[in-house]
Amino acid sequence: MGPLEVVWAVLIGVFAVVGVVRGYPKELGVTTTILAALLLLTKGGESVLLVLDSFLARYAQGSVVFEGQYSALIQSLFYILLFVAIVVISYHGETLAFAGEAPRGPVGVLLNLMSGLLNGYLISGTVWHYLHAFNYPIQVLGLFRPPLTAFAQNYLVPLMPVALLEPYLLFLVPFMIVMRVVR
Amino acid sequence: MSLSFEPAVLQYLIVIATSLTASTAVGLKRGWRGQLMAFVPILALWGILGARKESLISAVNATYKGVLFFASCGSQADTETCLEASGVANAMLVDPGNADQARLLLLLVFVSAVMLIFTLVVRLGKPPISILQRLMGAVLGVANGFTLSYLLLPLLPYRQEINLPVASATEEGLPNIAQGLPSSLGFPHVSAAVVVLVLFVIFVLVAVRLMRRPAEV
Repeated sequence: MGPLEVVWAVLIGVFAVVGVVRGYPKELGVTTTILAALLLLTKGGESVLLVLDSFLARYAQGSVVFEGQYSALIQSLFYILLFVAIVVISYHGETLAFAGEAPRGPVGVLLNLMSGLLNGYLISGTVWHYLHAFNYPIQVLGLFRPPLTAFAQNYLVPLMPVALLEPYLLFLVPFMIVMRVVR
Repeated sequence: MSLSFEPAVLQYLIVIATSLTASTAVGLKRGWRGQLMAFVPILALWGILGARKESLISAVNATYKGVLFFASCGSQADTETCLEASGVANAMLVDPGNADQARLLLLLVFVSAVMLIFTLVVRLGKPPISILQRLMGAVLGVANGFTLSYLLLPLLPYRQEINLPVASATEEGLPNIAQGLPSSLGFPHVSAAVVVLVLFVIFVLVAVRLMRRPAEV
């Protein structure tokens, strides 16, 4: 495994432990927020970048976000940092946590673990997607050297959640909200 | 994005309007539970059609040959000679090498199945017990209507004239519609997406169902 896969797997493991500790009712609230964040980023991310770029272009001479040596890095960091900020806020709050408690016993533990794994997959997969989409601009910072391993290229990259789930986000976000309300 | 009313755009508008209307109607009639009962099989069917397109075409052609054989040679004593003479052996209804024919078959099967699923849900589903459930079903119906039109778009005959990313999928057949999506996706992604989606929905439904009520103080 390459270093990127190790980081990806470790992150998923960390979030799995967090899921076991917090319980899946709270984790499903975070899942709802993550899906809403993905919908926001995929549908409105570029528009926000355009507005930001036009604002910054008044002070710099020309486009700052879309042209230049660091444009890929800026765009990638925008998506990643915005997404991470939303995730951090969702983990701190309880607004969207599902009302209820996990069942007792191994079933509850298993559900907690699965919800943690799910959130870990969504979070680390999204961060990886926005690195991959901009051709790993962290190379500029010396944090990554291509190419990806064959395992990552063939099995992990195709399973990135943004690419997989984007056509269905308009269904998933209302679905999760309905499940939250019904609960 | 400006759209002029050409056949392609008109076709797409009809698809969107019909999908939204049907899906919202099912949601209002049977609530959010009915929507889920309808949409999980629709998505699963879409994935299966993508994964088994060749098998479907083979099955259709085999059935067609059977019907032709029965009609042409059913009353003949020497069926082998009749088979060769009538050309039944090489007959096919859908040419596997013709992308347009394959796409039309998939469109017909998918639309028929969606209509059947919606009808079954309306006929056999339980009515919602409150206005809130109906309204939630309608909201979910609107979202699902968009998703349904998204799934249908790559199967439309004029899809390449519709100025939307997913419509410009150039590869043949359902599994390749992912080329029109923002990332570069291939056949395995389309099926993997449906599997992930179905598993996710099932997990959430089971998890919510098993949740205990908070203990009352």
